[in-house]
Amino acid sequence: MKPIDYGELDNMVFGRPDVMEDRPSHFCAGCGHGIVQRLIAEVIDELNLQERAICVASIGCTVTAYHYFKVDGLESAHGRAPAVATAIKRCRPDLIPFTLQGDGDLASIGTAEIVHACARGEKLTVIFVNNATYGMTGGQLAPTTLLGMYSTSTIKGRNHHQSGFPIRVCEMLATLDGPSYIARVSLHNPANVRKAKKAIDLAFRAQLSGLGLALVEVLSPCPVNWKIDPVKALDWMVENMIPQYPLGEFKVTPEIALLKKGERA
Amino acid sequence: MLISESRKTSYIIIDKDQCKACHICISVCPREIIRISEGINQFGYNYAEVNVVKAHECTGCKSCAVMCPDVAISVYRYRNLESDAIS
Repeated sequence: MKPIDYGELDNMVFGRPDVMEDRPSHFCAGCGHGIVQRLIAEVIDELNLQERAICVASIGCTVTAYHYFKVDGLESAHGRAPAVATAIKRCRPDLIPFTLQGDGDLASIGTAEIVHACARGEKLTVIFVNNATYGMTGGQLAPTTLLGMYSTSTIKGRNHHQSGFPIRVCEMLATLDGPSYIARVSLHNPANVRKAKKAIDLAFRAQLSGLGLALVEVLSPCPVNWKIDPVKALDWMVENMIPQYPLGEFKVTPEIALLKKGERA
Repeated sequence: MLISESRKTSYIIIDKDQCKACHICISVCPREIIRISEGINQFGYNYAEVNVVKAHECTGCKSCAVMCPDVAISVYRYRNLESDAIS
């Protein structure tokens, strides 16, 4: 975001990033996807990657990501965004592909792709938006749905005898050697949104430095499918989601730690 | 000029046609300067607007803009203020 100069009177300190299209989003009121997309656009702006970044969108609420970024984009098959991004990165190592995936995409049908992309240590950036439900199709059970949580396919709450336990993607992938940076952030208040931006920024800079796969899981509200109002959804996240999905960095290689130090110095 | 008027350092502009009335900006504003309008925008929502009576209290903390899922809020700070001269 470049500050726009309106004469001597005032100065824009926050506005729509240049990389973001100026159009109303199609997301529901209070959806976290809008925030995630804005953070990615800000990072692309700040790192000046508009001509090199390629958005690999997946299926789910992230499906129309190409409507919102002024960068080249590609639509992948359901769950296959890491595989498509791998192809782009291997054919054109100078480009910066990033995938934007939801939990119905990355954690269920795309589990094999993300696990093997991590195992191969592909030089990608993966932004994983976890809202514990299948948002686009109307709130069905997702692999990340909490135990006891309502969804349209578990109307009495998720029961582990019938539908198993929720998956903690970050912890699972952090055991592999390939990834360089794995972190989980949340969008429940302004301070955490700022932390989320730092994590996304680091994930892009990891790829620019040619380190391994960098994955940022973003806990995001889905008020419409959780059937609570948007402000209460943020509190609900603090009370229920964060105990199940603790925030923090799960894998930081020594190279990433150096990268982080460089930012502060 | 009111005393409060002279303290004015920053202000926000809400693009009413992007607003979906999720009320998140209202809940995070530390000075409670945002309220819901009686007007209706292109989506059919009662959009958020700045309460004119309290607008001078804006500190430019950007919390509302950072949390807005629809990037409807932009934040401006005045230049050439005493605070600038001090810093």
